[in-house]
Amino acid sequence: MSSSNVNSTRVGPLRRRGVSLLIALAALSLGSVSAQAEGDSFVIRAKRVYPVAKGSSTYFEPGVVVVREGRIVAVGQDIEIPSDLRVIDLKDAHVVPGFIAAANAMTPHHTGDESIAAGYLALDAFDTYGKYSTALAEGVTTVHLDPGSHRLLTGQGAIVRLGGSPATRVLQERADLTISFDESAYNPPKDVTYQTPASSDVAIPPGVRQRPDSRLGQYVAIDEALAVAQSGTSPGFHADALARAWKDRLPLRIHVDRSADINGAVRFLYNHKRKGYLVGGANADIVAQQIADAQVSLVYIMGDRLDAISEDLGTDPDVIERDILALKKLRGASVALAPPAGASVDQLRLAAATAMRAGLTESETLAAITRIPAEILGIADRTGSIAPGKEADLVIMSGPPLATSSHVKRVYVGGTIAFEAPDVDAVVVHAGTIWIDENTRIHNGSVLIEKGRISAVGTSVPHPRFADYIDAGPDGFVTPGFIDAFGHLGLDGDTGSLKPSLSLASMIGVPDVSELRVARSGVTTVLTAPYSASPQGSQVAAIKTAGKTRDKRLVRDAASVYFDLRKGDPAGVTGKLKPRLESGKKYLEKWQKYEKDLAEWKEKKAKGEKIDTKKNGDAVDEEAVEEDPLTGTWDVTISGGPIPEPQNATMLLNLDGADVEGRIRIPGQPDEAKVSGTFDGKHLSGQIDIETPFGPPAIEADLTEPDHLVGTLQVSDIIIDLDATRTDKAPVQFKVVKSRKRGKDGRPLAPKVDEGLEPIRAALEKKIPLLVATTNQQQIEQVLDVAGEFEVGVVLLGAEGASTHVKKLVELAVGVVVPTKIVRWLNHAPYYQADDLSRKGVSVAFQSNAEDGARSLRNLGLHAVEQGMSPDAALSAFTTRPSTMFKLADEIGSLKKGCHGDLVIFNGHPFEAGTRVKRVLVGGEEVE
Amino acid sequence: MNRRLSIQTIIIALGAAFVVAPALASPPAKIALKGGRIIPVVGEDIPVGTVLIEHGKIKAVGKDVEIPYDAMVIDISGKVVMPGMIDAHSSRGLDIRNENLDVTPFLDVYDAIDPSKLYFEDALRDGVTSIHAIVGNNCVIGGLSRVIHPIGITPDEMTQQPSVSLKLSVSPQRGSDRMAQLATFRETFRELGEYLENLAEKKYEESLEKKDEKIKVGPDEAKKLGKDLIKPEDYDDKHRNLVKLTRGQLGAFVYAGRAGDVAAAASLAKEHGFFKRTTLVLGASCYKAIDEVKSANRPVVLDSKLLYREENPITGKITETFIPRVYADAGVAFSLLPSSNTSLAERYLNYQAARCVRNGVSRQAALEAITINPARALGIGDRFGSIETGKTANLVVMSGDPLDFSSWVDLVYINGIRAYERDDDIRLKQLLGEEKPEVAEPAKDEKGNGEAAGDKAAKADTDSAEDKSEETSEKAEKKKE
Repeated sequence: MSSSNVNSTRVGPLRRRGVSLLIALAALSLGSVSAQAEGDSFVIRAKRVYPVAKGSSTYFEPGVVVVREGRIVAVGQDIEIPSDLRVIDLKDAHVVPGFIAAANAMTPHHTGDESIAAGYLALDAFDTYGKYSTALAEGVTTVHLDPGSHRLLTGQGAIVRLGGSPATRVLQERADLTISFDESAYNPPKDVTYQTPASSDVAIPPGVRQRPDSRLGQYVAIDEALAVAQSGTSPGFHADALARAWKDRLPLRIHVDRSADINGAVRFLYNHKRKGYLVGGANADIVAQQIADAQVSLVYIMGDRLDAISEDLGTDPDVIERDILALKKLRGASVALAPPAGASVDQLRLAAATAMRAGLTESETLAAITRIPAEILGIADRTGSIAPGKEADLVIMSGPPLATSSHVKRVYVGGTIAFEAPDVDAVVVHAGTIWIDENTRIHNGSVLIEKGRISAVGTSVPHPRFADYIDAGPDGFVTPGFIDAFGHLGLDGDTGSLKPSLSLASMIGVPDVSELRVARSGVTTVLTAPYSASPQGSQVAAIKTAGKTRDKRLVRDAASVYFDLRKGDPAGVTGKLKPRLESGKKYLEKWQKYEKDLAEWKEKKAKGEKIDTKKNGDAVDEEAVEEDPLTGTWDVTISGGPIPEPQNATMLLNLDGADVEGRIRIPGQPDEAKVSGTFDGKHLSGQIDIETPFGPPAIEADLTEPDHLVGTLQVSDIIIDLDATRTDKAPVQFKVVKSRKRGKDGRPLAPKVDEGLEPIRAALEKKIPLLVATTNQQQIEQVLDVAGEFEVGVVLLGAEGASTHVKKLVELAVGVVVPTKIVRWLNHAPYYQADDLSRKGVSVAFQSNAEDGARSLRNLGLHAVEQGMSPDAALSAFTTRPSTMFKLADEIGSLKKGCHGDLVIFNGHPFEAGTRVKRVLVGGEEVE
Repeated sequence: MNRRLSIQTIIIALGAAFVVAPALASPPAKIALKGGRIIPVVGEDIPVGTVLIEHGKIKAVGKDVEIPYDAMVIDISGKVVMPGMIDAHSSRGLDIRNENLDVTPFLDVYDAIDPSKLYFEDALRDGVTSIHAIVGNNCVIGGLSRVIHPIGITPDEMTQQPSVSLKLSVSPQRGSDRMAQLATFRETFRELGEYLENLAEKKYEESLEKKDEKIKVGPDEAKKLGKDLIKPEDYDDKHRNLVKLTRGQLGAFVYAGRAGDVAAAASLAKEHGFFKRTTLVLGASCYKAIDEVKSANRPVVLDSKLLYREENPITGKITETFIPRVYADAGVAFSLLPSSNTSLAERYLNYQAARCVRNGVSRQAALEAITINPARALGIGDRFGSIETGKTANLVVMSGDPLDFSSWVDLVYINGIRAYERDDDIRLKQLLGEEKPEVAEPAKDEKGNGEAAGDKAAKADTDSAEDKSEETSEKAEKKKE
């Protein structure tokens, strides 16, 4: 699906330049321009673009983003598209800035024992060559790497992005100094220094106790460490690092947990006059006011994990829904959202979306995982919003960015594709109206098409991961694909009739322009028939107007048999239709017998009964098996002609069905020669594979008596007598092909397939109807009688005189494909056949009787509705009715589960004159 | 202790025939290997030619070499002679691979080499004549390595080249993480700088004391003035090798376990002055950083796993990359390693080279990767790694082409000594069922034979255990990602 929805078209720079002189120049520059336009320069067009920039509108719809060399140069709704850039039309996609995880468990915390260790660099733990597909698949493009919160001063953080070339992934090497006022940093292990190389002279010293062991101790410990570091008296590796970080005025990243920590952290920042921000915030609701007053930013770690049940908390009433309490109070402050502790960054989007429970708007929430974390981390000049000058970190989503069922389809990092969703061949179509069939329509519903078939329909359907999503809006009116009940699309003007055995399906290829034109008009299936029918009936195939492969285009190979009784032949019914049905019936009976025998045989076999394989009873007759008369070794004597004396040769023959193969050693020839030919039970005719100037010698011989062949060998006009006797029989039994009915194990053998009668057989088995073109009342009656006699289903084509047989038509459930003329004169008054018949309960369908003229098929419905037909009746005459008539209701014609994913999206009811076809899907793939 | 003794007794008993005896016997002064195909690795193959060995060195190579009357002529018609193969990085000859401590530049593998290890016997049988004995990857700064050959009963006898390099690993040792690993490096080198300054100050003070003068300058000035007064013997054990390393007097084998570590390894080496002497020992996924490896332009030793499998976490699709091909295509000279898992064909260096050829690496590059490339990486390329006049006569005579896996190693010469002869390889014959083990029955209740087998199994266990732990840590890393 992605390939059809994410399509790129190149807007060439050579647009209508008339001056011939310029052409040469332009051709010269073409190379360089297109080379530059490749890669990270492009234009994205999408349904919605959320810039998330300060002071910008919530979203542009439709939206355009212009990217040059990995940077955004323009964003908006109606902005000029540079002609040298390739345009990527993302249609239904929603584009948001790459998500930023300002706190996460991407890198594990360091394993050092030091309570204060500014020398640990979180960047060291990052693999620039790593593949971060799981995070990117959820839209996370930028992460903060944290050395940990398990010690008082854990080290220095870093900021990286997860895509793009490894050399460009690091955004900030030393982004901050990470401090933790969390209780988990209390009571660090003792600091032990070993003597190296070890010596028995020096005892292992006891470990030195480290601070902090209390809330008070942590401030003392840090101030002390700072004092030591700044004294410059060679204090050690980590102290050096601390001194440098402090001197460089790195922002302080302070992990907090309890309200006291938060207060302390705010005071700490104030006392030291440092920039910084807080991470955590379990009790943020209690101190929300202080946070807001101090204008300190907070990376709020969401409380509840989405992939696990929360821990039991006991009876403390304050902790219920702490996210809601806290975020409500913090509204308006600079708060970034981060996934819950322990959860992976993949959960950022959904965890953030739950913040909307606290009353945050969509745009506030979106900002809290894009622009605000970028501001807090100090990278807002590079990423976090879609604005000119920023890097093209873009997330392409299938639907609204915070909707639960939306999926990430593609991710750009710095203008290069960092993630591409796999093609899952699934699409969800949502619309104000879903017209499933004439009895059911739902409002605000969706259809899910998977692997070409509708797998769910209703007001709520599954959205499989990475599925495409088409929102047709409240005006959207989705109908099944229209069916042309009689057309000639693809015949390319070939007006000849087709013999009964020929299937039209054989002409299916890649849809060409005319077929796509028809598809684009909403007609997705054509019951394709030859212009004129063979007297014995021609096959009709149900073929789709779009689809990439033959299999995808074919609905049913032989969907009907078309008889044309119109051409002034009063004996048409008895002369054409009936005899054909009679021979069809005989053919069917043969098959029925075979099937019955087969069933019996299977039953016997299953019971373990003995099955006669020899002649026995009526089921096995004398034709069944015979001893193989030919296979074996033959002594051959050839004489006469130019041969002075009779000569002997040996021939080995092998009979397989009617084919004979073998070899012969002819005197005077060094090697054995191949013999091949046919045997009909009596006569052997074949040739010996020897090169002579006159071609290979031919054998013609008769089995005059068992094991004895008499005949001739002939080369050119030389004839040599041949006399052969079988000396050795092969223990194989010969099966006479023409009359065999049982296999070796007594299994009944199938009758020969007659391609011409197969469709008739299907009709007699009520699998498909006959399509009979007829006009007058009398003939219609005859047809209905024959249909009744043979119990076959019938669809009448044209049937201008049908109105007098309404009762019978309804009774026999015979459908009528009405003529292309909607109004005609009957008894000196205009007569509307479609309306009249459908109102009386007869199934009606429309036909184009044309090739790509079928693109205006819907106009017939429009016309019929204008003349009084109900719009829904007209709609069913294009969809459910023809599919039911042709017994294709399980395949096409409705939006039921299991049917082909063929549907048309209109912007209103299809039979309002102003309604347009917006989009067409065939087999779940959009027709472009 | 008892157990250890008995193992050694058995090994000596079994191996004496071909391990000990040739090492002790004095070689004939002149040997001519005549009539075989010569693959010199450096230079064109010679279809039929002679290699003349004189006093342990290669005296002449060529199609028509005049053979002195007093030379011992060995007819190797129909066979192939190639340089002895070189294992560029092996801890299998050591009693344990790594120390518990993370920074141990004062150690030397000399103390850990266990000449009684069956590994040496195997190496000889497989045509390996030089082994770079070095501590494993599970360290920050390991000890000194040395190049040894697989014959001799003491480490001294085995040594070809002592003090080749220091082992460094930028990938986390067991139980550590990358932040701590790299912080330990920074801390160590910072401490080294501090030590040198203090030493300089001390030397300066001492020099004044000798002259009975009073210190007239401040400590900073004293540190500068004392710098040149330091003599090599003044360094203590802990720092001596580090000083040599940072001055380019020692090689460095730097292990980078994954692609992201390559940059860390290169910048560490550059920052501390040993980049020019650095050999990169690269884990499987490092091929992704091929651009960085190429621009570093340093010798490369590849992991014995030559195929890298990667699973797409979204689609579950698996992609496979044949690692040496990436390096060969980029024009990076690499050395191959044998697998330490003795049950796999990957334990043979020539098999590893053959796999490369099968996967599109040129034959020449594949042969170089097991001979001259490791020799150059170890700084012994002037003496080993090819059949050239003047080089040490470390030669392997094979029954057929070395990259044909039906070829056997027939003869091995080390320093011109016949170190191995297949016809005399008792254990191989026993393995192949051609000969019954001599020490079988009586040893049973005294755990004789059974124990030797048990020891081998135990060794295989520790080998595979190490492999496994490396694997699992790799897996764990992937999970984290």
